Amino acid sequence: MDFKFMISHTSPDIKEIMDYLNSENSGAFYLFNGKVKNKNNSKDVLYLEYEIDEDTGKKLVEKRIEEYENKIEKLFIFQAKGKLKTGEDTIIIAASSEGRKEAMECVGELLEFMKHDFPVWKKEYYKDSTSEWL
Amino acid sequence: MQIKIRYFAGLKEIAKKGEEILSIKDKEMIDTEFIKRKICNMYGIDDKRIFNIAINGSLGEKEIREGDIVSIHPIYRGG
Repeated sequence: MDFKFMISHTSPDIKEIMDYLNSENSGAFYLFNGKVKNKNNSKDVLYLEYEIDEDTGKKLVEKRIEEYENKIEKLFIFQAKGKLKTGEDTIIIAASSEGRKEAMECVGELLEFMKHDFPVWKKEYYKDSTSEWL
Repeated sequence: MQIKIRYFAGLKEIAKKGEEILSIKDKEMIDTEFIKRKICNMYGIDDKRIFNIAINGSLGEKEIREGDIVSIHPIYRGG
């Protein structure tokens, strides 16, 4: 399995990710793209701020993806950091595999992992000048 | 012994700093529960609050020794 992991203030180009996922052995790819939404908990969101423990996060991801070694051809994970305006990418997880099932399962499982087990925190800033860590 | 403590998210705001060096007298080794209690006491945090603690970038370790980097994580909120 080929793997790319990116933590950045700048989102990657989706077309470049799709090109990366292409391989002769892959029959399908699956891609999830999370975005900053403009409303949360009935409040108007101006922007989000993501903070990450990158050292710990990278180790956790490397360990977590081991189980996909023989199921997935190529895997790409992007996690945004810093301040993001509404509509910007927060997370992208994409996988290609011989059949569709493996890629879909892999992306779904890793999305849950990144939401609940990856050391990332987000603070929402609202139009009413309040903010909170979620 | 001296260790470096790193704070994140809301904890960083409570501590008003991203990291600090802590000196622990008369001990060569402490565990994660000790450091959690110490930090909660230092900053008036409810010690029932749940944190993950990473030692040198690894979760699940318990023993903290001289020179270790200890990261205190509030509950993760990704997505």
